[in-house]
Amino acid sequence: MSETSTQKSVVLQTRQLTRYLGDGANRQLVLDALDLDLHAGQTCAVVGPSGCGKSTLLYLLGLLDRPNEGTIHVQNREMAAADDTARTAFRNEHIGFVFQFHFLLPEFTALENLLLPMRKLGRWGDEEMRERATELLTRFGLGDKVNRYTNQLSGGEQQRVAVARALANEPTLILADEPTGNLDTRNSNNVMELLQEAAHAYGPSILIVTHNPELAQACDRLLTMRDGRFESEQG
Amino acid sequence: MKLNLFIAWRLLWAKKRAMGMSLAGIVCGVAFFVLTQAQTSGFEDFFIRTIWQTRGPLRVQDKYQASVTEMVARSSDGKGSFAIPLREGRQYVPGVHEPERVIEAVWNFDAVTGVSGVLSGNVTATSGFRSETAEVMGVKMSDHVTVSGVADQIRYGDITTFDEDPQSAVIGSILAERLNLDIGSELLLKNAGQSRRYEVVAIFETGVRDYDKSWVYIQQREARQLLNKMDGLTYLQVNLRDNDKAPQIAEQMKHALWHDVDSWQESERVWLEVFRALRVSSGITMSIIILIAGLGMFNTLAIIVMERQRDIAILRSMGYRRSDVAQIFLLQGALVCAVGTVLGWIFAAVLTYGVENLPIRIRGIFATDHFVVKWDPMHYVLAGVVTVIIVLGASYIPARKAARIEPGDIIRGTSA
Repeated sequence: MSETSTQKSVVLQTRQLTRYLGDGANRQLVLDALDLDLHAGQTCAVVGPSGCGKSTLLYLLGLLDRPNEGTIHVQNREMAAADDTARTAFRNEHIGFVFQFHFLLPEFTALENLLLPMRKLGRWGDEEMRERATELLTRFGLGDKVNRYTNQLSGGEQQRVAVARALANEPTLILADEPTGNLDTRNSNNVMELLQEAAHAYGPSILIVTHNPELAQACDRLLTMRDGRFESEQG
Repeated sequence: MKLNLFIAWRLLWAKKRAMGMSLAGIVCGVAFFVLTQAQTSGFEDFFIRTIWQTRGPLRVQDKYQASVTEMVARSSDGKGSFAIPLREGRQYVPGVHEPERVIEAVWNFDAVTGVSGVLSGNVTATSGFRSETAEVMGVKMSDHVTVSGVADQIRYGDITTFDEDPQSAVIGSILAERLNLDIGSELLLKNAGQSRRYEVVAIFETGVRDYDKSWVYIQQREARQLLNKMDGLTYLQVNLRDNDKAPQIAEQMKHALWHDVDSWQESERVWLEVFRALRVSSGITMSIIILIAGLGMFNTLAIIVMERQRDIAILRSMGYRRSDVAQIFLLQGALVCAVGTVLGWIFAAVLTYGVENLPIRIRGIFATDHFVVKWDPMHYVLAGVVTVIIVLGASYIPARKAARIEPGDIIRGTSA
């Protein structure tokens, strides 16, 4: 692969990404000048002991937090120093999140939860949005529950809706923070399959922070973190 | 906006019980605001109409003339001297002199729609029952009905033949009651040793106690005889096209007529100030109720923002801007404000209608047998404006706080 085509295939790139948390005497280095490249369609797991900086990294990559130093390029756009409006719009269009807890809005149905980011983006018409959202939920085995409020769904179903919501706007990057951390084995496997399927079917890059070794092993790459640095890499 | 409104509505509906309390406060605040304004304005307007229909919007009374004196200055050697005119002020001469000329001059004002000359003075009114002090009003009734509401104030009898019959007397209701007089009764008016007999042809009620217990209308020629005033009038009562312009027209007439001209706003200043103070104070009191409802709204929204931090963070992670989040919470306030205001208006209309039909007998400065209210759209607009300012003001702080939430901090805080 040529240098140019390699550059083109890189969805996410960080250089010298550094983050401190706390102030004064409590100031602590959480991420220590991290360099990371994530390619299109690639699934990457980040593992490591609690407090090693995995979640901090995830929120920085998701543009929910700002680094003290370093750069974050997503789709070749430098976003670390971008203003809040640009980062928010970018998040809406290019980044999908899956959290440990489903984080669905209970006042809305499963379908409406998917429509929230889609309507904000405004890429499709109303009817098309509904069709796409229904199709996604059907693909995830929730075709008969699209109009149920999310508190009327089981934990596994809720997490499947959350994954579907992350895919709703066809993002180029999905960031998942312990997506199976709150699920039993069967539902964990289910979510893992969905993420893998999504990566292959829709083509987004997926970065998963997890303690689940099976989920980590199923990814294309496995990065191990310790004390704010990548200690090793597999794949 | 449409999307944010949809989200706001859903979040609001989920907290409908807590919001219901704020809503009830706003509804009551708006309704009572409008009701108190309708009552105070109603009574104020009724009082003003009573003034127009009794003393008239404008009175031309005492003539005045500039009084000028001289100061003589002498030279130091005492041989030369000169006089310096000093203007000291005005000197009033009671009554209207050369009334025909003054009336003609009054009619030259375009704003004037009616003029009636009145010759008045104190007399003793006597019936077979007892005597009372009265104020005789010598008028030409065909003129006086154009500057007062006397035609509408007649409770018994008739005034159509008043100008033809020199023995006609029209008397106030309280005076009639005190003298035990009825239509057709004989009335004796006495002044300065002479007495003249009249027949009561009508009894009026203005609602103003001072007038109803003392006024007696008789023909002007009769009044001249009785009061022994062969020329001049006590005052001219003037009606205007636009009574609200009475002070400006009074000022113009003063300069043109060299008479003191008194507008209804000037003569009734004290009562008008009392009504204004009542209206403002009731408006402030009712605004405080709306303010308390607004504080309830602030409290509820502040709690919702606290409880919804995670949901706000989710919306932010999905691409909703800070301004969207602020708008969602402001819209919740706006929705409650809009629903509360509309329901408050409806409640206000129902209450106002109910109060309007409540019986209450008032006599003294006006006469009414039920509550007087004013149906004025401005009261509704004003209540709406006060509510919008207070409720949206109260919603702004929680909305701003919601917009400032950092999604990363919240999501990190809820992760295991």
